[in-house]
Amino acid sequence: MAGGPVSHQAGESHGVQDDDRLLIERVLAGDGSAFDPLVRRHQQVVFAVALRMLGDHDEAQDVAQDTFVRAYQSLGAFRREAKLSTWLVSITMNLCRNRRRWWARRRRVIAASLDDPVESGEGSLGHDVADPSPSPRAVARRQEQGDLVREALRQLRETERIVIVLRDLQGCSYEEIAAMLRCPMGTVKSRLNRARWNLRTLLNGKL
Amino acid sequence: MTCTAYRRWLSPYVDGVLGAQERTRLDDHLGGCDVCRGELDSLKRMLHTLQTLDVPKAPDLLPGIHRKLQAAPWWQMLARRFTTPWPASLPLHGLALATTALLVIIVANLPGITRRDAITPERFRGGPERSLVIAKNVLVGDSTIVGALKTNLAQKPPREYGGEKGERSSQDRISVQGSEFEVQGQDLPSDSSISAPASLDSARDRSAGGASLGISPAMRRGSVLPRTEGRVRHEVSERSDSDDGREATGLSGGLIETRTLVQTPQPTVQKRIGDFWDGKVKATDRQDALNASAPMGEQSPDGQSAEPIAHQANETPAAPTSTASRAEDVNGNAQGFQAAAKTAEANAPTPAAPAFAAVAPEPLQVQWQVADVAAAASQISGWVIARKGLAVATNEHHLSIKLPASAVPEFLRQFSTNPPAAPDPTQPVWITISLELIQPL
Repeated sequence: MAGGPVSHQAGESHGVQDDDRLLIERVLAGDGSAFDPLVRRHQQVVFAVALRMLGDHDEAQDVAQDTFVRAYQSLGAFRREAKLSTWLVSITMNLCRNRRRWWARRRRVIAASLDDPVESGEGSLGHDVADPSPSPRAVARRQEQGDLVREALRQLRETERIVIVLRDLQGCSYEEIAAMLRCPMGTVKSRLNRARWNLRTLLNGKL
Repeated sequence: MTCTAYRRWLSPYVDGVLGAQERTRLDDHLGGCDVCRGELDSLKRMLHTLQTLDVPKAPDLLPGIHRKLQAAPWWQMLARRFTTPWPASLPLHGLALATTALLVIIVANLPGITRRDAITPERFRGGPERSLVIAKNVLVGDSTIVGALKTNLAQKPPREYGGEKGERSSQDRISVQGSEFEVQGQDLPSDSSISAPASLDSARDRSAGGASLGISPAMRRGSVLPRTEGRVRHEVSERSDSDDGREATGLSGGLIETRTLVQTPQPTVQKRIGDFWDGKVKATDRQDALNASAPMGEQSPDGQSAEPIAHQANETPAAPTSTASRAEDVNGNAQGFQAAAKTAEANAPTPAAPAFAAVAPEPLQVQWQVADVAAAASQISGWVIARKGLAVATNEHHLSIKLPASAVPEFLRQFSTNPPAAPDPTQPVWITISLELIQPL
């Protein structure tokens, strides 16, 4: 996969949104099988957000599944004028927050590496860089930079990490972030500015 | 403006959301500040790194999602089913409805749950008792029959109000204090059943033309149509100290005067009926509840029927005069009963009457004035029992009598020289008589 922000916006056209609406209508009409295409279409974004928020693959997978379960159970409350991906990411954020609080209460430390291989039904998957022809040196450098960024992200406060993940990793717009976090646009701007400043301080010119 | 202030604009600047004016000022500042330009470059590099981070590939989430959905708590599944639209939740909606209906049936059949349908008027269908509405306004004790009228269940409700004095324009049209009724099939005895003593005339004069006859308990309890309120209250203040809003009763020379002051609406009557079936009404009131079971349009003419007769007797010299009934020694004091019983044909067609009223037993209502209530009640009870009837004293002056229909004419005849028409012998087997004994002052 080419580099660039993992933006769910970029992949969503009006046609996709229309398809989402049609599938949602079918689900609401009782056709549960129509929910499967929705999962396949949005599971990448949901899982990525969960993984970057939690830093643990298994936890991220669990949260991503819970996100779709929650969405299926409350699909009737989904406002059709909104984008489904925005709604799903919002659910994911809430679940991640709850999960981290649950960890905090139990003093659990996330020790898993984001580079741990991902076990799936199709075998072991690595977090490979999606560059079709990366040189070994470029791959090594990118992996090093990725490790630095992930480590710095872990040290950010949750509120700051959220806006970094949503904006700089997922490519959400300011309006979408404001809608997901249910806060004004000005808050998003100031929070994002502070988060980027702190993240850059943590990286300390390592990039 | 300091560099620190400008650096706060760098983040929205790279995102392209900085205002045009601020953007121009920041561009001007960056053109002359190497430090801030270095900050901008550092920020862009970091963001580029973030945006070029490898994207973690998601595993297939569907199996886990399906597993979690299937393992969802029952209450979540139920809630989801009920929040989904009709087609998806139709089976569970139907199940819920069926469950609710089953619960209702179970609760309704629990012991101790009162069921009104346990005793329904339909149980009287084909039973030995049949309805019989007979208006009775009888003055006994001074050898004078005060008034009687045979009415009909098919009587229509009053068509107009406001008249001060009643008048009887024809034999089948009677106006009572401005309320006009039609009497169908009447065979109003003109020579005996309408009578008025002299004392009644005087009392009637004082009542400004108002009726001055006793009415049935059901009437006093409000099962009559409204009268002119102002007029009634005038009579109350004139005749009685009673001003409780329900009735004013006085006696004048053996005359029973009763006024209903407040109209009881139909629901109250129905409630009393329901209470009766449920056994909530005292025994003394049960007969009244039965009396009240008839629709107002039917019941009210009964109660008011005596009034125009009294007027007739008073205002029309040619009207039938009193006929002394056969005196009968009831209590050993040579006190005879005098009665004028007026019958209504209970089985007359009543197309507009509710089915309930058509089948509910309507007792024959009789008021007799006697010298000694206790002695009279004892003698009457003996007479009834001798004819295999049943007489129950519901209070000190009220008898609830159940007589074979064949004995009813005799029962009435022995106390009156002008016996009423016998009830339809083809219909009732037993007749319930509500007899109120009134002792004059």
